Amino acid sequence: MKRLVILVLSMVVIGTVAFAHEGNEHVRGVVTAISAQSITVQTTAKKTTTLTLSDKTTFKQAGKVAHVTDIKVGERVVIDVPEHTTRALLIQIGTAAPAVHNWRFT
Amino acid sequence: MRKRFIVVGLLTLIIIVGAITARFVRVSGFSTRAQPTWVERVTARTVRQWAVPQRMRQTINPVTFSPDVWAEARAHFADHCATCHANDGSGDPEMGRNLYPKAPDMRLAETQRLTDGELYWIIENGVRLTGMPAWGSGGDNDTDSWKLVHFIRHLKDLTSAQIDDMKALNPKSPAELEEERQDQDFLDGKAPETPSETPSHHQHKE
Repeated sequence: MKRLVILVLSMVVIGTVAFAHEGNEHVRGVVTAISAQSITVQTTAKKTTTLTLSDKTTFKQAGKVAHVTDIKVGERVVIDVPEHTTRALLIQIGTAAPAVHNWRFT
Repeated sequence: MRKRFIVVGLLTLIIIVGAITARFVRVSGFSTRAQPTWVERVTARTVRQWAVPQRMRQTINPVTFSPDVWAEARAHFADHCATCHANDGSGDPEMGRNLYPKAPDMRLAETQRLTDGELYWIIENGVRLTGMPAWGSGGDNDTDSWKLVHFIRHLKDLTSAQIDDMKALNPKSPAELEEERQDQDFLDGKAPETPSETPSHHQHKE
């Protein structure tokens, strides 16, 4: 009888704890500044975005593991950023020659 | 007399709890984003345990582990399982963490303490009232499923390079493939630095 009651109650009692929806955004842009702590890019919509780097940030170039030191100002990057954050999760570095922009000389 | 009083009392309690729950549900609704209560967790795990026949629980993996078996299982897992379980078995993809109950982190003891036979049975037959489907025909000798058991046992040995290799084998939607193509074109300098108007599944920040 006791087991039956527990089973019935377990079917009845339901809890609700919500958590936020998450996903990764991609940021495509050209690097305007880079340091060990952050990367700033001018996106394809000509907006300037600064994202933070951490020890969890990974880097890739042409499918191979790369490092933050491989990133140069003027290079194209695609950055995975968890939604609602400014943390760079994965930075893919372009293989095209770095673009020549005024910011390279300022 | 006393027994009848207890039964009536319990039934009354159940009706009251049911009514409160029904009222709560009508107001709040249900969501699979919620975490299962401990009662649900205990019930689900108990039922899952009952679901595996005793003979199966004691069965040892008949497939001998080898690097080739592991590689094959990695590819199989990436293609069929990672959508919910993640390549590293963490259960963290959007699909897995929004299931009810959540896809488990299979690296943890809760999964690792299951016997080979129990893992095999779950892969072959699924788990009722969860997002886990039956992937096999229910027989005892599906070699691919036994190889997946080896994969689960070696989740903690996965290297980041192996996980990267698995990513290439993960199923992708046409929108994701298109997004990857656009990313690659941009990286290769084939796409201009001007705005792209193509809508993206992952919401490109522009």
